[in-house]
Amino acid sequence: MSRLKPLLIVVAVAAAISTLVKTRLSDQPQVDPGGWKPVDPT
Amino acid sequence: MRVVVAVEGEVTTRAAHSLASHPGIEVSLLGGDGIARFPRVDDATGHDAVVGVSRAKRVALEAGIPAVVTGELDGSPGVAWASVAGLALALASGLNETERVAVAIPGDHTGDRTVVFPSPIDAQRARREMVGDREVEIAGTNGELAAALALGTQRHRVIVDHHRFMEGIALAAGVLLVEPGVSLAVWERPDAYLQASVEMGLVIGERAA
Repeated sequence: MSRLKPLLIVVAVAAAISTLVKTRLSDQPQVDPGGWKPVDPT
Repeated sequence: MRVVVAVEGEVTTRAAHSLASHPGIEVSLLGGDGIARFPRVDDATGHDAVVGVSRAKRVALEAGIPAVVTGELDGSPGVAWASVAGLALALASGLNETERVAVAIPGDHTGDRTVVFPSPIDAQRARREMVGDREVEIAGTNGELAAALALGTQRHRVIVDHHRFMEGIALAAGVLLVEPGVSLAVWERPDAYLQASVEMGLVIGERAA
């Protein structure tokens, strides 16, 4: 068990960082990249 | 072509004006007191189609002619879904492998997904709805703009304009698809429908995916 404990801590820290990054990314405003050009429908 | 517009609010009066400025179309109104520009009729006998929202279907049925409506036809001949959602589905019909079809219209809509429209509409929450047998994501906007958006694997297409203007043209352009005895949705003749919409004032934007 004592050998597993450091590994569990590392996994927990990695999961927390992943969640934090995902949260930050989802907070970013989603913006249309543009590049639209008028076209003839046919 | 002689059409009767069954007046039911701003969308129909705008459609009447768009149709009147289109070559070869004569417009009469059923209802709509206070609009002096157009002749009045009490029924649609002798005309080629009735244009409108819900009353148009009954009026067209009584006269035995096609209806052009913003929603479903309920079994009558004519053109269905001449609307902003219909525009989005017509845009999608011209794309290979459509991934998303969405519209943005003014209103406080909520939903479980986000659709990114061109600025200034930008990202909005949307919910899925069935339009005929097709699925469309419906998003709400805070201003007066509307958008019809189709995202394909190779190309994206969009129309953005003032909501009422776009809605009126979306209805009016359906008249150009009328064939006696035929029932269809606007996306079944996408090129003709979009061409008519452009001739009446809408602009289609496109870009590579």
